[in-house]
Amino acid sequence: MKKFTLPHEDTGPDFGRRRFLQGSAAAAVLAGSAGAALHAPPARAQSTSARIVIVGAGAAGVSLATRLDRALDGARITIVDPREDHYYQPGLTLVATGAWERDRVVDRNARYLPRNVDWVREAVAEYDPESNRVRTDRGNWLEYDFLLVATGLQLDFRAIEGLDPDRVGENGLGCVYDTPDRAAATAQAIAAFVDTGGRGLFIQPPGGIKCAGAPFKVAMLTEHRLRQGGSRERAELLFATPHPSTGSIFSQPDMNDFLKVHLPEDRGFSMEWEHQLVALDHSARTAIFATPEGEREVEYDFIHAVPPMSAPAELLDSELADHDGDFPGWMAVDRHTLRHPRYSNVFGVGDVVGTPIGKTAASVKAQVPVAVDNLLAVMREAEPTAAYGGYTSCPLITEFGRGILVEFDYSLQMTPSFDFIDPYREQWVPWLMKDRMLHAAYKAMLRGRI
Amino acid sequence: MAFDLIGLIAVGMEFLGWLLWPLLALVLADLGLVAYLLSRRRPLAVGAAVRIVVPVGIVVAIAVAAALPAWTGSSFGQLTSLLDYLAIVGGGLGVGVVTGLLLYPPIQLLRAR
Repeated sequence: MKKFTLPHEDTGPDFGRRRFLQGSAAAAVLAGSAGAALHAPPARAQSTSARIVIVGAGAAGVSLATRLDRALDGARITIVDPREDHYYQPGLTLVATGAWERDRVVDRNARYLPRNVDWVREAVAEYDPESNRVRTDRGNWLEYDFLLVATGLQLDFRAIEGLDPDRVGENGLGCVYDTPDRAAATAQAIAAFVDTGGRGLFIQPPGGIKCAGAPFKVAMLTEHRLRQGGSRERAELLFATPHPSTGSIFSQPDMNDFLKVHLPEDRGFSMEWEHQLVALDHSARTAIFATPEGEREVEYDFIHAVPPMSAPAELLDSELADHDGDFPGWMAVDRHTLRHPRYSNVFGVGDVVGTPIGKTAASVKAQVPVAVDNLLAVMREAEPTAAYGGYTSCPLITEFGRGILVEFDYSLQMTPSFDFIDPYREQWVPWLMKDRMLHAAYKAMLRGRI
Repeated sequence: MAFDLIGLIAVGMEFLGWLLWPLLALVLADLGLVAYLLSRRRPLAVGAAVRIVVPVGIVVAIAVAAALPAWTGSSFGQLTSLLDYLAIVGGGLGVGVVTGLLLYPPIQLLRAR
């Protein structure tokens, strides 16, 4: 047998040439197969003429649309949302702290929605599950056989007197939630605070919020910015939480323990326990807290204000809301099947649903396949058996360049996707994932690929 | 949360973004060059090409490893674990090897004339 020749031997490449050509052909076939697998419909799409309405074109709504479009043959899928822009919300923390530019988190829904999906650019103003229909803000009724609610949540700025979202960025007011523009305005307010120093107030609101790690991330990244800017000594930092010192400021117990020690001892935050923000005097830069001892006024130079959150008002006014269950203020669903407990043809996905944990994009990634599988089962008149286990994830960014990859589920135990990433250690790799990898995973999720 | 092979490929494609298509074009051009080189049935100057490609790949690998923290807006001071350093080395090696592979066919063509 002829031996493959090495460099300077140059005696003729027959075997190497054949092997190389075989290898190249194999690589081409593999690449082609991968491409075909990414673009092919499932082997057997389920045939139906059902009318499916998806409310909301955020992460959950778009992911549902792309998956259902591929899984069903003949369905009439309608998605209802007036928004043309699609915000990559997991990136808002990085915009608000100056690590990313605003444009990096702004995309277009049209890039992801399948052509077969009918996009109604209106907002749902009324749910009528008894009659299987929704009414839009332009007065149009949309009838459905199956409804998927993926509206996201509403920020209740009005719950805090004097908190005007239009003034974010002015007079030391920041808010990471809401829009990319307001996140960018928050970055400017933080930059001004880093220049001047003074008192920085960081707020955790009561109740369920999306990306529950964000208030901590903004606090810790601002502290890091102060150190980077050489002004840490000129700043006093307070973290105000409605929870008592014996309570939980983070759902996952290990992270809760970590944060309760790390913030005051390693980062120098004064922990203001049982302080619930109730009002702001924007001009005077004064925050008013409800405490067990009564109201307390605190002056600030910068405040990161986080409003309470809930399901959108029109959903709360409907029979789809959790009126008498464990999660008032949110949509009622079975926490495992994501199916509405009273309306068997209605499912909920994403921030809007009432579950113990799970208002993150990572939760959406876990919930969407469950909701789709269960919807397909119900369409076949079978029992929905897919179950959402409560998976959620938070790359808890502690500094620019470091973070902890926190993943857990309803059991509140850590459930790391990658065994080699220690969920109890600050490392650069979680930061690398947050900064460079997770946005790609998010886009793949929108396309229904993961 | 598990990722299957197709999922990882999908994420990789999204990660590359607009770079995906130029990169694919480059790979196809390289494969075309290889086919052309092999079809000529003349001796290949493998050694000469490798002597150029390997040092270039090593330089690229070192440069990429050195630049990786800064690419994420971070610094070497933020690396805290063995995993962090392995990621840096792995990233540099990966890009270095890919660079070498992509560079090899045109260098081979130039050297084999």
